[in-house]
Amino acid sequence: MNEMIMQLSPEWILLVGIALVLVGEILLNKDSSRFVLGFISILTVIASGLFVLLQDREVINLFSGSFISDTTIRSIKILLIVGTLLVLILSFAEKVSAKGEYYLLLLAALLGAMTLVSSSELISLFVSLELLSLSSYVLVGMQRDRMISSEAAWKYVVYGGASSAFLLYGMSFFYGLTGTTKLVGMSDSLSIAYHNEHGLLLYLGLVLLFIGIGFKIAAVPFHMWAPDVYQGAPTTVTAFLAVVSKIAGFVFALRLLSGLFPSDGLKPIVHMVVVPALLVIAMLSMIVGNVVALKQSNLKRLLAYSSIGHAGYMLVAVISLLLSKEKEAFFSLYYYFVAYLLASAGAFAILQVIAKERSPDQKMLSGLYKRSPWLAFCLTVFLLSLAGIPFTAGFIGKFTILISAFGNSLFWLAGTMLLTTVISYYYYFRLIRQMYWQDDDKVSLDKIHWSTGIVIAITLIGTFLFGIMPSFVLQSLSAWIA
Amino acid sequence: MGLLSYLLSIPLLGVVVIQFLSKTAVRSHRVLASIFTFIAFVFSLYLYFPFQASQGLQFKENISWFHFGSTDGFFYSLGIDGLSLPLLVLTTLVSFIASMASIYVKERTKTYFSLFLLLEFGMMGVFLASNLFLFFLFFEVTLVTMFFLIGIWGYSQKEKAAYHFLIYNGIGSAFLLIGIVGIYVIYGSVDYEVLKQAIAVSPSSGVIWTLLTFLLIAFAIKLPIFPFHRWMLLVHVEAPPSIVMIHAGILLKMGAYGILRFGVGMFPNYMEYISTVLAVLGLINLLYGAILAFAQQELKSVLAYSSISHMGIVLLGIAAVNQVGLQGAVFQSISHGLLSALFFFLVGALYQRTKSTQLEDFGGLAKSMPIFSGILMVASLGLLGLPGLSGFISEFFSLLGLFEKHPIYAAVGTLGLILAAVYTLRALMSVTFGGQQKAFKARDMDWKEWLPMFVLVLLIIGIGIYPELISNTLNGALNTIASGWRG
Repeated sequence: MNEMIMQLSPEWILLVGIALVLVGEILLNKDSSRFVLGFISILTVIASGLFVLLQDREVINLFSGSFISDTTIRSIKILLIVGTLLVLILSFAEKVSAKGEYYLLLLAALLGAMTLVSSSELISLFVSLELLSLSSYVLVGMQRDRMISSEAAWKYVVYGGASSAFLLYGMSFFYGLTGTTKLVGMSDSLSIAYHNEHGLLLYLGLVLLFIGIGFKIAAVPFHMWAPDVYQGAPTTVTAFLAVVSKIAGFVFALRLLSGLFPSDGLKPIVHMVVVPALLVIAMLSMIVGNVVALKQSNLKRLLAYSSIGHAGYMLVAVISLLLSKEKEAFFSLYYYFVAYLLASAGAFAILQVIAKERSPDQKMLSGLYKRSPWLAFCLTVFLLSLAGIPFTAGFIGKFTILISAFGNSLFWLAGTMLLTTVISYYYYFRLIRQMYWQDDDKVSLDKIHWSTGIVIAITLIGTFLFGIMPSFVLQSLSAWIA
Repeated sequence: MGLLSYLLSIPLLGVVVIQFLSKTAVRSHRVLASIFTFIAFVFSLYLYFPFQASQGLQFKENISWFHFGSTDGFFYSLGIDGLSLPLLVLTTLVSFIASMASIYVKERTKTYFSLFLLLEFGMMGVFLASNLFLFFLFFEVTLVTMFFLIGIWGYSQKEKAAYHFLIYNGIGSAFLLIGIVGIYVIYGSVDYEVLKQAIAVSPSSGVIWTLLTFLLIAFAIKLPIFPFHRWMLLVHVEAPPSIVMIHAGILLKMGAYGILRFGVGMFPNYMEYISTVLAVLGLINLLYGAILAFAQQELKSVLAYSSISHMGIVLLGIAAVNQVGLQGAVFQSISHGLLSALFFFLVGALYQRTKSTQLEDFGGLAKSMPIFSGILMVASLGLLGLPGLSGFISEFFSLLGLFEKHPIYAAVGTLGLILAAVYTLRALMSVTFGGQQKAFKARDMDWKEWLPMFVLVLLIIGIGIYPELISNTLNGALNTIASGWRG
């Protein structure tokens, strides 16, 4: 029992934090500041991260294989924690009506993401995913006084609910075919079922699964919710969705796909169905995301479409990973997560400063160079990183993904990736142009809240550091995961 | 840290120092940038002394950078040989002179010179890098900084020019990156020397052909070769003159360097195989540029098309696939670098005084601006290939080399030289001679303008009458490259 408490420590610490915030919210005066709660949340998340690090290389297997944790999983957890931490710090400057519940839900969403990453069983996977999703739905609608926020929340609930239904239905097919919900060993039973003429049911389950996963990671053609939700949600929540939720979604997809199909008997399905389907989704995501982003003038919508494009790039790494199972493919995916996390969090932090209460239009960037040169410089760096320009983390991420893709002979995919990257130059540089050579008419100085300043500084340093010294991440990863 | 790293860090240091100056200290920004580019120039000249022409890559630095996959990983590796040293010196020289030519830039000089120095950093890195990955990184630095320099300080259509530049070259970079990743996946290394040996012993295959094609397309866009040239016309016309000096003087030469280093240097036999294609492309460039240059009504457009034409000669030299031809290609790169730097300095000076570059607006400037007209005359004579100036010797070598391999193409190529004389003289005459069309308050150039130009003129004459200035260091490197064909 004692051992189990230790092994689950990162998760239950979050639970304790949630309880503390809940109690604090009840005790605190209605009008008083919720700063304390934010502080508690941050401490909780940091403590949780420390316990993840303390577990070191231990391989944990609880509840007869439905909860596992090893170095790979822990490395992802660290990423989720860092992402949430950045969002929490940003939250000090965010104006939402129920700040206490806001912190509570963020912690709950993180808890969902953490258990999601560790789950190795269909039901706990689904429950974790729902914990993450349900918390996110409410977070999106937190600004009740803004129509657009409520609308976004509604859309998110409807789309998200539908996709969960698809997922659950798809999972039920797999349960029906194998008689188990545990991913370990499921593949072999699945293989037997496949060879016993139950292929049709398998395909049906697979299609449903793909639809559900596609929604969760906002890949084309299941992306329609993303721009509206990104636009409507409070900026910090958008950052959370774009970073933490997205990474969790990818890990979920990876866990399911690599858990269901490692059996040799299923090789034909992987090569004939799963990979080609992912290939199409990845290509569509890259093309549609980046092309539609060209037309956007609302910054949040633009970043939403660009994040759809980035989902496509990440899918390239996922495909390489499914094909080769090499460590390198995972490293490239991980590196891309890191680069994307830093650049996105930084960009959203700056959006929060510029836009304040309003909807952030591209025009707001005009003349930013004159008003606050540092802010303009930082946003430029983040955009360059998202565009994949050398000496930023984004370039190394793309470069490593390309190497993995080439190693697996995914030439068309790599070609599409590069082509869409060039397309993306156009809109990223358009924003930079807006900052540096458009004069603005009404000059209002942007005040930077100290918390935003911290986030921008961290992400800026990270973007440069990991762009110039990739070995920090790559070497420590290979040392840890080896 | 070795010599080359110190050289690379000079402009970066300049970027840092310039941040400490006040925004309004326009003059000190320029002086500072000139000082740093000058130090870099002297430093690069100094490299000539310990340099040994008979050896390959020298002053090597090799520091492990990061690992990915099962190979040795990526290195921060620099080195210089007889091919890159002259181009490096060209870079530092043109940068220095362009920084002095930036007197016409009056707005946001702090940002301008920061980017300018960053651009120099990128360009030097391109020539110093001794692996493909590093080469690519520096290549991209020039892309981003040029985008800003064109877009912020250019003329009326600057944004269009900046975007054309970005997208065309972005596509070029994408091709380059595909090539580099492919090479890395196949050979497990991106180092020049390792690759050269690996490619020499590996059997010819479709994959290698594809990779080579990708690399060549990337450099064809940069050079530019005929159907890919639209962006560079816009840049020539719309970018500020001091930046065009760098663009026409050095950035285009990065394309030539790429073809020489990676095309000819690493895939010699493949290049020999396609030499006819290169010769045809070179001829198209040469004639197309020359004919259209004749039809232009605007001075910068004339020069832009003449750049296309002259890059055709570089291609012809490479198509010769022998040492003389390669020598011609490198000579032409350097000669055209100096000439175009000189020309665009002159254009900047002219525009500053007259606010026009339309040929029809000018005439009779020889009387009111004798120094300007004199230097313009020398530059024009150099451009049309007058013996005794650098242009002649380059064209001579290129065509001589080509004559050995493809005599008919070479014969057609000489036609281009006649056309060059026609369009250059037409432009020159309409600017300096004849009756004055418009009354400009013509003040001749002061020493800040003519002194740096004079340095360029001296070099153009120097190379023309004493080609050993370059060929001494160059021949060792070209010999190594050309040995790929003999062997």
